[in-house]
Amino acid sequence: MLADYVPILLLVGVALGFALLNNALSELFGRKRKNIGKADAYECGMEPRGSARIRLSIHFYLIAVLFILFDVEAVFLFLWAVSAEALRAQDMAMLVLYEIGVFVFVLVLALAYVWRKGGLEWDR
Amino acid sequence: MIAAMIQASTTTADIMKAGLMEEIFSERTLQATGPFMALSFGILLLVLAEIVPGLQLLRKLIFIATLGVAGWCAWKTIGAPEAWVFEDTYVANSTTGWWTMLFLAATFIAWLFGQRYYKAESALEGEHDLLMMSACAGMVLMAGSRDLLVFFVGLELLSVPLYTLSAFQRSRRESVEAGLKYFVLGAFAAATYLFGSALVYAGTGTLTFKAINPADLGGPLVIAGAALIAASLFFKVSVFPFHMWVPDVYQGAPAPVTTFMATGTKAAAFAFLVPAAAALLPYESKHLAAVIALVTMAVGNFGALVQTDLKRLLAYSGVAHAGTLLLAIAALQGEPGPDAAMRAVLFYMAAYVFTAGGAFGLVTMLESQTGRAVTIDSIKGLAAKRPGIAAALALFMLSLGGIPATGGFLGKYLVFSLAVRSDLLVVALIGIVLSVVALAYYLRVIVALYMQPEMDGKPVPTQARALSGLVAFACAVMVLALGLVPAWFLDSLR
Amino acid sequence: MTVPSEHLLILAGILFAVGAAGFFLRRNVIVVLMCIELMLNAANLSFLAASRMHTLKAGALGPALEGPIFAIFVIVIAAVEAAVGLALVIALYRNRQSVNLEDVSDLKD
Repeated sequence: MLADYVPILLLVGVALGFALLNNALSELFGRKRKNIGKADAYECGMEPRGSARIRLSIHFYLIAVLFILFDVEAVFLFLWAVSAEALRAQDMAMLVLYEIGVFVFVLVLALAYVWRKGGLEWDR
Repeated sequence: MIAAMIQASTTTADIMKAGLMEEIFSERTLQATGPFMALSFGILLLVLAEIVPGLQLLRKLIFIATLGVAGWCAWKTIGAPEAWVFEDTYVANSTTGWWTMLFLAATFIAWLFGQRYYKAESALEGEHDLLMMSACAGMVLMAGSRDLLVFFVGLELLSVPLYTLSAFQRSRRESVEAGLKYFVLGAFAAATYLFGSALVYAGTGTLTFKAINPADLGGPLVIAGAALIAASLFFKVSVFPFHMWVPDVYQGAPAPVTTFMATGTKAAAFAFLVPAAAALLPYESKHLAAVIALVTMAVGNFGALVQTDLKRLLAYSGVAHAGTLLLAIAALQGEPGPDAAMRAVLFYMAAYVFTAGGAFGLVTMLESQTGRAVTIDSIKGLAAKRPGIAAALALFMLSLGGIPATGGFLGKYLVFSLAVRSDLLVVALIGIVLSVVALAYYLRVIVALYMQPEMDGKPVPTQARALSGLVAFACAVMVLALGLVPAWFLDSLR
Repeated sequence: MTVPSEHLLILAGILFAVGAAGFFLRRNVIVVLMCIELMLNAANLSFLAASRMHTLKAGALGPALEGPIFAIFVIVIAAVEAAVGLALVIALYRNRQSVNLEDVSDLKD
């Protein structure tokens, strides 16, 4: 039974080996010329070093929570989308339409509520 | 993988019945789901009222009208033939109809007592009503569900608004603490429920009670799953050893929310616990359930003896009542069967909703009038200044204690006689003894009301509140009606 | 190569136990929330494992869809609970400048 897991072990081995080998190769054969630009994070982004415990504005929290709520609701759209074609083929196109209509209407209502209550304004 | 599986199933056209459209829009489906649909529509209207500026004035009207329409829809299912809809996952019959009426009553009572309660949060009353109505819709869904998934949706529709409502007074430390405690434990219970249903699903291959093959029930996966589900439901109805949160949350939460939680949540969880126990629990669990019931009654009653805060006292009393009701669940595994147990639980809960609703409601009123917690000391001498309120509170205490002529007595009688018929005579006797112990603290409240003078520095509010008084009077009338002329109610359940 | 569904159920059980242990042992509310999330995902995994088990079983009529559908509902409700939970944590922090469960003890007998 456990022999079934050998491919997974192999995969882990190959992945680790590939990463280690490449690092070792570049260490061995690469030319080393240091400057500030090279040590920096590529092009943009946060400072790669320093404390991770910086304070973020509380606004991010609200935006993040609203995002995750509406984002996760989208998962139901996939269910609908996958079964819509089969339902339509059985002359239930109207059902497909009603279902998604009601669902999106409720979501839009929620969005309107958030908007009205000022949840989308950055500086208040 | 999921997408592939759904694709595979939908292309096998035979799974989708040709009559799906007709089924969904049939009169039967509409009638069965009527109360829930009415409440959902009401929720959307309440959201709309928050969005459109002018509509805010209509909020209370919308709330009352929604409850009314939902009540009318529920009334139509009482006495109508039993309707199983959505592939046997949801049922509407006389019992669920009465349960729905009960949830609507609990919501209405808590809502009425909550008028003029909030001061700092009065700008957020729209959200308060909205959350309350969502919780009510969740209860209706819970009572009608005969499927683990549908019940879970109902449970969360009830619980998530209640977490928020418990912490509604967000600048008050106790309220936020109550909300957080309730949330953390409630989320743990939800996770337990989910893992339990996953195990049941693994063992039986279905989530719908009707589709469960009785031969599968003995498997280890199903037994473990049923135990986990039972544990999470025990948390919701506050049965030992999952009752620890109850006193803290009831004390800390805003009083109208406590009223709502104490009556509605418990009723909804028991409304599902009966069919779930009938479908999932093996016969051997009967004695275990009976023992847990007794321990719960003992913990609740002895815990309540030493309380001074009235909300805490009523919270422990609620734990004891949950223990009594669990006795009915234990008894349903025996000779009387689930239908008799359902009737007893429904009647008991009906009496409890009006009794505890009225009692917590009066605590709400006193709390908002004095601005302080209501303790045994602070209600001393209430009978002299506010005889009506004191009489109502005393009646509620007598009904909670199970004194004859009140609804509480008849509920206890039904449950204990059920236990006796199910060969749990000793358990029933111990239960009756424990109920007598309970009288001690109920009488302590009555003594404080009638026989002790007002405490210095804790004056009793003198001015009346017409609305609260009226609701308390209505609750008292219901308690007496259920105690004196119960036949009309019991007959309609058969 | 196939992994038997029972192994997935066992893995889910272990995950659930780890989550439950963390729930009881840790005192930071955020960590407790993460433990609950872990338990929910353990439930999800076991739903999918059970669904696979019933689908691959001999004589199955078609794919067992209840499991995956339930898992999707769990995902959504986990997000909802996270939103409410974090809001409560923020309210708590504003009240007491702490997110430690041991500091949340105003209410007791």
